[in-house]
Amino acid sequence: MKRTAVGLLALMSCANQPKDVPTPAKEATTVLPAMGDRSPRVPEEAVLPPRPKPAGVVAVVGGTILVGDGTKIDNGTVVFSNGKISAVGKDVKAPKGAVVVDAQGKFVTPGLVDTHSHMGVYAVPHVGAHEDGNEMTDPTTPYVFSEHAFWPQDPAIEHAVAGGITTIQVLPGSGNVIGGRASTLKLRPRREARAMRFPGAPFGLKMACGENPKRVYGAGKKQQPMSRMGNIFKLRDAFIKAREYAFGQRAYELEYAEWKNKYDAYQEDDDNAAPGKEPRRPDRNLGAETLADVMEGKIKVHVHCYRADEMIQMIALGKELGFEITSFHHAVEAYKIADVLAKEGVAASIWADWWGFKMEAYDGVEENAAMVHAAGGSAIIHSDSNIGIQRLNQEAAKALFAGRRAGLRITDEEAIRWVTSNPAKALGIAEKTGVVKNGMMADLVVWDQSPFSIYAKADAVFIDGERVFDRNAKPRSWSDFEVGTEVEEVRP
Amino acid sequence: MKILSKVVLLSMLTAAPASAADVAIVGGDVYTVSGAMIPAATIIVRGERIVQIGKDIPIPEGARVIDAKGKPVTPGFIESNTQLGQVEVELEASTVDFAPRLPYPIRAGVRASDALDLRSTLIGVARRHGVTNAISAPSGGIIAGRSAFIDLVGPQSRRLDVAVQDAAAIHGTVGEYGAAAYAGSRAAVFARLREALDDARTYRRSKTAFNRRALYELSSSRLDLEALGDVVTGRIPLVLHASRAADLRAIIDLAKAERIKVAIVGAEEAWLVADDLAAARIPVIVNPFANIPQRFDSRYARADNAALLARAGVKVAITTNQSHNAGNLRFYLGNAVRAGLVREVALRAATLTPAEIFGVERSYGSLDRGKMANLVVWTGDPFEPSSYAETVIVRGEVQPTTNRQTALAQRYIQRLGLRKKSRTQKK
Repeated sequence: MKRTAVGLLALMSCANQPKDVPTPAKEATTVLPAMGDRSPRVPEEAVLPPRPKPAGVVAVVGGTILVGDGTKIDNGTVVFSNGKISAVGKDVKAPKGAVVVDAQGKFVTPGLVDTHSHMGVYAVPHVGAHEDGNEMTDPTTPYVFSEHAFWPQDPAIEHAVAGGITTIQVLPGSGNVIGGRASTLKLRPRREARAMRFPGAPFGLKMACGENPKRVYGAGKKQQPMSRMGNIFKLRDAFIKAREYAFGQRAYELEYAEWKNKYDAYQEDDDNAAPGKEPRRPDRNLGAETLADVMEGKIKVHVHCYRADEMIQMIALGKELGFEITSFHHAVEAYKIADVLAKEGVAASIWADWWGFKMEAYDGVEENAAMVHAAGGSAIIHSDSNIGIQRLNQEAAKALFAGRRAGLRITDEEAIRWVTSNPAKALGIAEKTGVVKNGMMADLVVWDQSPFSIYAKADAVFIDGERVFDRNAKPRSWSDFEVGTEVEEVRP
Repeated sequence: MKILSKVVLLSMLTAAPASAADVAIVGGDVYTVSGAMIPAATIIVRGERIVQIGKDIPIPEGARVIDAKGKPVTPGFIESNTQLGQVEVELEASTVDFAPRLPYPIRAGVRASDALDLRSTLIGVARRHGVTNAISAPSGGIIAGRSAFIDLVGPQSRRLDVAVQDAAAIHGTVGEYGAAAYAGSRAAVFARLREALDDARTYRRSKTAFNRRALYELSSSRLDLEALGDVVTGRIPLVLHASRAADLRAIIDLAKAERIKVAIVGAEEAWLVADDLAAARIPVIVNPFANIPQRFDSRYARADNAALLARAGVKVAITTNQSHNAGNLRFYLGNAVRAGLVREVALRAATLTPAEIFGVERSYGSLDRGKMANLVVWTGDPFEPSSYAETVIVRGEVQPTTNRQTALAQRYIQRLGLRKKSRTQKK
């Protein structure tokens, strides 16, 4: 998370600023502290409980592999060790001494990835004390971070794992126009969110358009934004101010470098000109820092947005302000602009069929994901729910068969991408998970039958090769909340 | 309840000449629910009713024939807990009628049927997935009012005038939500409920005194007490929302002490008191997705609640608790089976069982001679997303399985040329 001079130049160019910005002195970036992740560091041991021993070499043998890249391997075998997939194919043999998981007649998929979860920040039981997902004190809060509120004991988490979910993005809610940073986590039981971080995953930024912010602030608090006009103003204002802040930082860096040169020269030889007063370092602005990272492309933008017209507006706004949208979320009207989304390369994270609970969700259709896919875009089935996340495969199935019924041609092996590689791409982790292939993290699900059946159950779930769920082992609850109760041993 | 008189019914069943309006569903595997599945059977529908069902039944001349060969045919599904027809857009108060803002907690006089709009776009969405009937209930307070039992006919139907009936149930809420609506205390809710039931009895006994103002002041209004009359006489059930096992026990005690019929909606912790519920013959209406402690009230929720209850002998109906997505009922049934409920019991849980709970089993809930022709021809297992409802018949009429949503989708599939694209694009 180190801000470089190159990054800053990119930032400037994308905003069509004058090109005569002086080239920074080399020392400038080394004299100043890095601007990136300044959260206080805690030793890993403090947040990592003892890990179970890695299982050695594991071979999942004989299953139908829905690879996640649009292909399928019948009667295939997956071998993994040290957390990584080392062989996949029809003719792959289980290495000697490998732990063999029999998948004859079963299905194997990548671990499912959900781009939209509030587990941990709206933990169950839903009590006031667990309402941690929306900092609704200011319509733009880029300075807050979902990870700081994530409660790893949320009893919902293990149920998501039992449903084959291995990775989630934990987002702040949609009460604010800019809700804050999001974090991508692997669903292994750990004592603190940072220990669950998906290694190397970029952070996300949650933004929202439409009804929610204007309802929370306008209708709820009689303040800005009260309308969609206000929503957009708040966004533009925040990004423009962030850009000014970034320029101010940059100007300071240059001024400081110049002063430091003079100062050093003066120290060496007081015949040189006196350096004058040390330039004052501008105050830090945590929100602007986040937005500057967004404009540099370091943080991925996820926009809660329902209506087709608003999504197009947001794409245009991104071009004006210098950010790229990775995925719209909910995107109930994505099907109306499926061509635009495909062309712009913006994914649509959607439900299979939720609709009508508010006006901007009134035009929902069951064919939404299938239509986005058919147009050549990136369809993602997301949950936004601690119930839906337990059966994301079923949600994908509903969306798939609705599309087929409407005459769209989509295979099972393509549709599995909606819950594997497409969301992985939207989270910036597609090089590491979401496809069953060599070198990828061993994040896998073994299903007792096609995951597009309502009756399908995950028999085994692996994260980094570690078996985090085993249906036959009668798992006990991980969550401390369940310990010592009548359900500790029976759920899920 | 508008139930045809026996004479009319008999004359219909024996009427020899086939009318042009007859519908023959031919060759399907008929899941009657009341009895065993009849493979490759034929159903003859005349007017609103099933007049014949079985194997080797001649097709009346001029009948509209629906080929169901090899396809499952089931009764239309009944969704037991919705606000269908009382809501269009949930967050827009101007379109919401199910939750009156009344300053008192006993509202038995409220009738959903007074506000019910059969042209609501939600109805076609539910029907597309084989839901042919729904209970549409009011909510709020302790006693919310009387629900409607609806036939989900389309706007072009000739049966619109008879498709909404007052349901045989009054609905209410205790537990956490009841306490939130009244006094912030479960105990206070039960006290108020007992008082209302007692006053309803007093009112029934002493109408003359009441009208002469010679009676002590009663806790609820005249209309509300009048409406509760059917509950205190045991004619119709009081359908109570409750979750926690302790609340369910309190309901069992209330039903016994007050000698009223009750049914319970929610009942997430019912498995903990399954034997007591079975002994008290109290049916439950459960959501099989309720498997995590969403609230302290449902702390011990588990996915196999329905299966455990059925095993203990409790009568179980299954609900989505949703209006906009009531059509997902078939997937909820599939999930109940996934969690251990016997298939036949799951099918019954959305057909005959809710019909019994709401007192309409004489006309609804199974495929039998004389019953209302509410039925669905499926392309495969009704619980699987890969299957769909091919033909939906409500009150004898073949209903559209298209709706506003499918029209929207088709408009954009055509505009954007997606059907062709899905066949030609590079994978």
